[in-house]
Amino acid sequence: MRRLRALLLRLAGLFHKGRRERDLAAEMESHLQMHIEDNLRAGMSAARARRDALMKLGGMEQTKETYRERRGLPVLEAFTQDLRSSIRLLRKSPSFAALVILILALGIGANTAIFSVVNAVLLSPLPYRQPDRLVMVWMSNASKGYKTSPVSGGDFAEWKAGNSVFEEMAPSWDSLYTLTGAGEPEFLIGYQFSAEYFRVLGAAPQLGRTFLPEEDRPGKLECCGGTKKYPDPHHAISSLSSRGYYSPYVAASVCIAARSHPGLSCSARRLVYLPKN
Amino acid sequence: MGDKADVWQGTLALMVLKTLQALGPLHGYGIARRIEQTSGDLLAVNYGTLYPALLKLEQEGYISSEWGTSDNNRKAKYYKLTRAGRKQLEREAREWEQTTEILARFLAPGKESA
Repeated sequence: MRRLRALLLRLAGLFHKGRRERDLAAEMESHLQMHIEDNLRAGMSAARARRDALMKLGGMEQTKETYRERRGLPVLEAFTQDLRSSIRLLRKSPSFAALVILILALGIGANTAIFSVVNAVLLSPLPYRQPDRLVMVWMSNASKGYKTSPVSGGDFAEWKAGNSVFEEMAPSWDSLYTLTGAGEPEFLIGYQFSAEYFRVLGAAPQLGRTFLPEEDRPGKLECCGGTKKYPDPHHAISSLSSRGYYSPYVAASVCIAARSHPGLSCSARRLVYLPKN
Repeated sequence: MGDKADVWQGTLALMVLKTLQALGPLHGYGIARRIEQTSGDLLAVNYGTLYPALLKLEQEGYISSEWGTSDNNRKAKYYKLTRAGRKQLEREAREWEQTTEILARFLAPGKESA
């Protein structure tokens, strides 16, 4: 409390410097005169009386300087002085200042952009329930130089049957589609999953439900779309289903917005999740 | 002359408060002289160091100041104790008494029970 009070008063000490300086000078002067008078009374010569008084004071200017340090906040004062002089310098050469500011802005902007990418891609974990327990398993063909190639349905079935390593396995294939018949044809990136895929990821749809096991069968191909183009998923569903290219039922059943699924988002304008069949 | 002790850090404020309590409102020069006299000329007071200390005490609200006239009809800034200053003086004096008492026990010869 006392400290806060002192701090505030020291802040206030940064203002009205002229008056405070006059005050200090007057106080020092009266101190000196009183001391000199005492010295004279004690029998010193005028010159000696004055010198002695000044010495005991520790020098007029030194005393004033230590007083000033306590009166204001020296760090802040030095800072404002630096600030003022740099602003003056910048004003003197505006084109140089503009260039410097531009370079700084570009530098800061570039760094921010790169950091946000690094942060999203490398630093922050994927938004799944237990990202550290998720792995992707691929086929590889060393002789052809394929390190990661998709697995066939039959192979996957065997993997799953013989699995003793993972809690659960779910396949995923991506494929490309063209949506036609609704005005402009549209390019879609689709992912085919088995019914348990979303459970394995620990991801839940923002709206509706995910595939049911019985929809995970041949001949049950239905889908839905969750898009960035339609910020409101409800709107996306109604506008898609009303065109009749998606069954209304399934359109409502799965709709995972790309932003809740950044691991799967892509440059295509739409993401479609399809049951495996 | 050279073997006089400097005022220990932190004790100057206490001396100032005590002086103001004893003598009432007083200017900086008077306080400095009084401290020197009370010490029996054992302390070398750099009068200049007194003013930042006075300012600090004033900022903390323990003393207040106003311009007045000295006995010799000279303009001088007079400092006086505030209520908070009186309390602070009591508190600090108590602490010092305790400290010196403890030290005295340590330094007293042949009194250890061990």
